Amino acid sequence: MSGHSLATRLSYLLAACIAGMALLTTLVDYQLSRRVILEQVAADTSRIINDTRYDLDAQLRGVEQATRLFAQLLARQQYAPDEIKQQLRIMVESRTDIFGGAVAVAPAYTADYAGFAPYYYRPPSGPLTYLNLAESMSNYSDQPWFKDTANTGRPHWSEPYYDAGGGETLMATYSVPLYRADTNGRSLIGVVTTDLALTSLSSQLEGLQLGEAGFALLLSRRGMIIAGPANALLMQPLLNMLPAGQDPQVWQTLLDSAANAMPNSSPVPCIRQDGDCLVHMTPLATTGWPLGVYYSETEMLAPLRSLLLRMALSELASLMLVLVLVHFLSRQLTRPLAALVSVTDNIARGYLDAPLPRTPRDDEVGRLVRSFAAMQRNLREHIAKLQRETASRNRLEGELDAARDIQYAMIPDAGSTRVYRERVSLWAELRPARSVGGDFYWYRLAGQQLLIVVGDVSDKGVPAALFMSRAITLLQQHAATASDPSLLMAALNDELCEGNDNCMFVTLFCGIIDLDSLVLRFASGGHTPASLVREGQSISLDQDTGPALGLQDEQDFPINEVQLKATDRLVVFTDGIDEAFNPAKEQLGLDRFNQLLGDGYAQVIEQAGAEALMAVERHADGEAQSDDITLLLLDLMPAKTKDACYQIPAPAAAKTSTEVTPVADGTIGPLLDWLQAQTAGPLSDAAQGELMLVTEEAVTNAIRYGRLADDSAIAISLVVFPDYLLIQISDPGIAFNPLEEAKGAELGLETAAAPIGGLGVHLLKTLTDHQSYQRQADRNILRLTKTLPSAEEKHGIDHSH
Amino acid sequence: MELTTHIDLDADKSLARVALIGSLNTDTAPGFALRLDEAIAAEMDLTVLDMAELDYISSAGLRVIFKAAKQIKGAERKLAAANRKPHIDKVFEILKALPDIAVFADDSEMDEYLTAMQDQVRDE
Repeated sequence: MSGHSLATRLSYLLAACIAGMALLTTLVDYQLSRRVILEQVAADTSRIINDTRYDLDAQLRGVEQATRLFAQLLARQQYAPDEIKQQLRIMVESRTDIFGGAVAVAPAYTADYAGFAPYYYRPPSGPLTYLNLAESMSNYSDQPWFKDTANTGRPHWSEPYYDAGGGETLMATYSVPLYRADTNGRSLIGVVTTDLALTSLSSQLEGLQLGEAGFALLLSRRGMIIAGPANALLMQPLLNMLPAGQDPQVWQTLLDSAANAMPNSSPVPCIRQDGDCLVHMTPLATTGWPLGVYYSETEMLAPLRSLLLRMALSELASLMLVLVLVHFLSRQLTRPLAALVSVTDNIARGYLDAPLPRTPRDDEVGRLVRSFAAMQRNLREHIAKLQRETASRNRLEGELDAARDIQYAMIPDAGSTRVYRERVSLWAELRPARSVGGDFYWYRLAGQQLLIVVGDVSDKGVPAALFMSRAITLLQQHAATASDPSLLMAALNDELCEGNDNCMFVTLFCGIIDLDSLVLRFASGGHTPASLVREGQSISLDQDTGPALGLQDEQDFPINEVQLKATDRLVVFTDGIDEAFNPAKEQLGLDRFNQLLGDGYAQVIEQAGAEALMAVERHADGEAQSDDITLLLLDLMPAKTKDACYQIPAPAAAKTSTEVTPVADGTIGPLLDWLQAQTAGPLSDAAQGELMLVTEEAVTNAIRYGRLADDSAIAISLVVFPDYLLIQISDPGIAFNPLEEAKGAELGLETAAAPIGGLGVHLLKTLTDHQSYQRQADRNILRLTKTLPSAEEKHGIDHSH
Repeated sequence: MELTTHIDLDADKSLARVALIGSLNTDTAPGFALRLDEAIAAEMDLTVLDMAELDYISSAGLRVIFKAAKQIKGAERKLAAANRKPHIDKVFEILKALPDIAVFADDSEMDEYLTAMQDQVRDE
């Protein structure tokens, strides 16, 4: 099955449709899912940010509250320094989220000149450590955290800082002013501070779920990084720390928004990866520190991508499954069609009985198979009928062939007469238009009386042939006793009229020539006039004619009489000749035929007859022969001078068809001797030599290639007429026309290139005047005529007696 | 219809003269072929077929001469015909046989040819 069967095409088409639909669905899915997921991611992120901010604010707020509470406690009553120290220790101890706390008493309210500023803090290892800041630093009241708080009178967070010499850690301090009411209203009696280690914030940020690439940053109000991913450099300005490819302007805008307590977000290029990334920046409520969150949208969409990939794979798998299913189903559906195709091929090869596929289905395929079956049946019947008709036609043709053979058997010499007698040469040919025809001729020589009859039955084909056989049978009966053409024709007419209900008729020329007096007496039954060729001129004989024979009995057929000369040639023929048509539907006509007979006067009878027939063929120029053709030539001449025959027994033939039979030694020499002896008188030496040469060539050819049967013989007949001689070589070998089939060697080649052999046929054609070949009665008959030098001046010689 | 063949070898002129007398036909051709082979075997530069007394030749005889001509030509030597009678000449003409072999009308022509050949050899 070819790659483009119906099933395959259907599968491809369906697969393409399904694939297209799947692709479309996936794309729509992707777009919808993407939007949903991105919204979800945004919501998640904002929830994470809010939660984180809330947590951070809560932690910071807890520190603030604890500090303010402690400050209120201290403000309520006056404590001794030890009591303050004690209270501070309790506070710091109770708040594990506080790194350290201090109470800086305003110098005016201390007994000690240096002041009193107890400070408890948690070193990275070990118990709470106490430090009196009044001792560790001079004039703590001049420190910014004290002075700023005292000046503003409001609690506030410091900028984060690195506490060198104290906690050795990054921290931010919350300072609360401590007032007590007095006569002046209220007086600042000190500042309470608590330190928050920012590492605790960092650990909170690190725990956020922001994907592989995402991270959170906590910045100071001045844009310093104070908490972030593990590798972040703390206390460095964020803008200086941006990786390559980031636009500082974008980040600055974000920071500015945060500074104005406005949350903001912006897409930024991703860091160290492809895709779309986002930054959210929102300030903490307590400290105003911007909290930044960076994450990759692409990464967030990664699950969607992998989902899509899995979907695509599963769709592909389904597609393959569908393809296989569709192909299988369509194969099922079209299987009868495929079987039908192979049956058609078989039918085309002639196997009409090729079984058709069975299908019980009633769909289009089923109906096709059934109508195909009907077609096959009809075709079978048609062909059987055709075969019967062909057989019967072949039988008919065979019967017609047999009929033609029978018909020819009734005509002398099977329709091809060559008679050379003393004083007369007769040459006749009959060529039927169809395989059986209505023309005939007949001759009979009794004593010096030569009877010649040429007839033409109306119509052609089988009816004409049957009527012709009747005519010729009756003719033979009556001719035996007839001496008068007129009486013969009258008798024949009466007989033919009997029972001729079909009104068939025959035109007839019937003539008797007395070979002594050369008087021709003839009668015509509506027949084409005969031609008389005398000294190069041919004329149609005037004739008094009777009716055609077979139509009405008791008719008279007038007698015509012509005195012939010995050099005359009488030509009798049927209208197949003068009424021969050419493609332009022009008849040859009697005038033109007489003209060519006159032109051929000098030719010997053999050649003249053959040429006349060829001229008719040339005129027809390929037009089918419309009527039977009969041509009879009769030459009157003085008695011939010699008539001799020589026989060569066949040598043992060669064993295989390719082998050449050798010419036995001593075969040719005696033949040449005989020829020389026969022709010594009338021929010159040169003419004799040429005659011998062509005879030798023809005879050796027949021996070499004829594959002659044992006990057969080659017959060489020589007839010498006053003006020409005829040599006839008749051999019983395989059919072979040397004039047409012999492969003549190419002449004139240089010695090296010239083939050896193939020369004989050139000699035959060159050294004789006319050659004819016939296959008759299983013999090859080659006739060669050679005009004698004296005959070349025939017109000038008086042959009459 | 017999054929007699005389062979006359002239080593000085390197000439083989083969004289055919009678009729060269299918019967006599095989015998003539043997005689001609003898003449060729003498390896003379020029082999001349003297046809002065040849009365008849057929294609069987021509075939023998063809074969000999091919053989001699292959050996870089020469075959010539001399004294052909008119009717023998006619057969050769019809068949345009052996257009490239030397033909001498009579003995004097042949002598001229031989002299010219010898002069040529001397010049070389």
